[in-house]
Amino acid sequence: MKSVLPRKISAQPARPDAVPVGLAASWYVGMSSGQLGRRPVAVRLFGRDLVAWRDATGRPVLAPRFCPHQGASLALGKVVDGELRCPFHGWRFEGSGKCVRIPGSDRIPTTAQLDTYPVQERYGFVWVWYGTPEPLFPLPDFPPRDADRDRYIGFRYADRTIGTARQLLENAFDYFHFEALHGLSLDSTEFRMLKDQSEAADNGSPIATDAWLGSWFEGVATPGHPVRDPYRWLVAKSATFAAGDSFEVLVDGWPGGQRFTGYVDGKVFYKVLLAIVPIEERRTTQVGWMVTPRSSGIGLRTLFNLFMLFGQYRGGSTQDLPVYNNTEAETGTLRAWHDNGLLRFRKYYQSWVDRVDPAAAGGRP
Amino acid sequence: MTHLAASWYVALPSGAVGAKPRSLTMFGRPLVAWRDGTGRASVLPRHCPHLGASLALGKVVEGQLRCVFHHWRFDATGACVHIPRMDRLPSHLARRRAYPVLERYGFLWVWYGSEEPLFPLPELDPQVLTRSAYQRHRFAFATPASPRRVLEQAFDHHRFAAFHDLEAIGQDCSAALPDQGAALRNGPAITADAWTGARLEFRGDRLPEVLRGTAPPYAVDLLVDGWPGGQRLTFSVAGQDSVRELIAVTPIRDGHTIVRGWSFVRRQGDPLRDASRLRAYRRFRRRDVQEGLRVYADFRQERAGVPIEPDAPLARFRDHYDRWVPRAGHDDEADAAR
Repeated sequence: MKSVLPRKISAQPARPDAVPVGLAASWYVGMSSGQLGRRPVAVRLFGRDLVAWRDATGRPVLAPRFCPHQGASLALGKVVDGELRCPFHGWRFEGSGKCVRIPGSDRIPTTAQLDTYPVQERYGFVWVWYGTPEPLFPLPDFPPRDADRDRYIGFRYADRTIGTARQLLENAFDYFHFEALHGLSLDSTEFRMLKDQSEAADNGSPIATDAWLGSWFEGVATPGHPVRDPYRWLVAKSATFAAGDSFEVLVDGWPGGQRFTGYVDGKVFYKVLLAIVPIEERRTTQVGWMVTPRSSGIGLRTLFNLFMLFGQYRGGSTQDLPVYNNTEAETGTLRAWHDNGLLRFRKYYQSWVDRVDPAAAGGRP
Repeated sequence: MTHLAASWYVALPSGAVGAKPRSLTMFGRPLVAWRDGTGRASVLPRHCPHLGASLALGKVVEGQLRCVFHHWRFDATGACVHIPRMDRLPSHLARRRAYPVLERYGFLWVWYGSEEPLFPLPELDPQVLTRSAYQRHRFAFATPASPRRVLEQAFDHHRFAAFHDLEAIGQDCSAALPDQGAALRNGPAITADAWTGARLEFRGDRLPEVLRGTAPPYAVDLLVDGWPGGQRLTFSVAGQDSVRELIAVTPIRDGHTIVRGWSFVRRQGDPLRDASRLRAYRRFRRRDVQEGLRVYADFRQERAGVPIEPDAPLARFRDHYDRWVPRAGHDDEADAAR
């Protein structure tokens, strides 16, 4: 007789909930699209044990991992006719989370229901809404991996850290660390919070107003002498793609992610999407795309820019991650004037933490 | 940490703090140790008071500890002395955050319990530090026992006698010393209310020669005195001091203590015999400690048990230690302010 269980069972024992403290209501990345095939997948997200699968239309579904019947792991189940079938007694669940079949029984209790999360699939990721039963704003747009995808070339990245989502996201508004941590030498700098979304049009279409926050940074890099101070020279050249002196960064985002456009002397050199995978308390992954514009072919200059962009990413993350991994945010209480952007972000972020409905944080009933 | 006396404690061997800041945990708190431009050691709370990044990732620049994240700089007192692109620092940034520290006997010592030390670090008899007179050996053992458990062993002559199959001698077996006059062989006087001492005597032939002499009555006289966080020991045989010791502790966190110190074994002239005497003493010391650690591994750490009369020195040490615990009472607030 053929076993109903997959041949290889990876042990995924149930773990106690470890919901991240102070996580904002928002759209987050659950996994990359490629990770979710025809089989259900055990997922740890928002400090909870979940299961993901694709329903009859191929749409991803995310729900609590354990069957409401006897608690078996649905990740060991099978997708049959677009319905997730529990391996234990064959109960089947459709994409809405509703149990649609119980073998040997005609009556299906109304409580036989999985609380699914609102899910969307875009830019190569499965996005999950966290915090309230229904999303409070639509998933923001990232044209370089959507409508404009033929005009950009780039790479996907993922970094694991024990830092919090807020730490990873506030970094973009903490412009002062560009100089200190990343070693950029800047002659003159300007940083300001954006007042109006029209200023962020290069990043994509507008985001729901109260979910939006943006900033503008510009600096003139001073490379100095390539032999006497090669590190500083290299950092300055890579920040400007060796194509000019001044560079600008446009950042805007929502409580769980950000879009960046980087310019050198006013010309677009890169675009970045930054999203968060909130696995559990003290376990977070930052994921996204980094892309550079390309013409119809891919010329040497494009390859060079791509190489520089990758260098910026690697250099930046090898400096940022140790800081994320060794920070006690609560012990830092002193502020300086250059923390204004960061404090503004924290206030905005907290307002979205406050919108989390604890009853709905485990999925929508 | 629970039930830790205000006192001087060893953080690390001096040599372990070099040009790069290093993270350490003491008193259950995350700390960072580093050296400023003059080589002066400094111990600060590990996380930057700005956004909380670990200062152990930082660098010492122009004698100041520079945070890796935004390049705020701190001097040895822990005051923020420089922020890039800021000419005048607000006064609240200049608050002192450092623990009082000292370097002596090859260790970096940290004061725990109050803003300023309540007594100076006790001194050893300067004679033990002359290498021509004493051979020395530095030791370190990790144990789950609390600092008090570790330190009270020197006052617990019953344990010593039972472990080594000895007979305790003297009229009342051993005596808590009434005043420091009787302990001056151990070194210069210690601040009176931080001091406690006892004298214990044993007889038996199971001790190494250096602790019992070569001929009967095979007796050793142990003079121990100290402060709440450490002690000085002198073992004498036939009226002649033979082994001296400094014992200190590193309270890492509850359930994790490191016992550190020095053994000084008196030279008697013949270098080969002296070397073998030191080896024999070290073996004895290690065995003594290992026995103790085996017991500590399954120990009820809180005060317990039935006291008997010969436990008087032990009981006195505990009372003494316990009196110094509330003196650290406000340190948690002080630490929050740090």
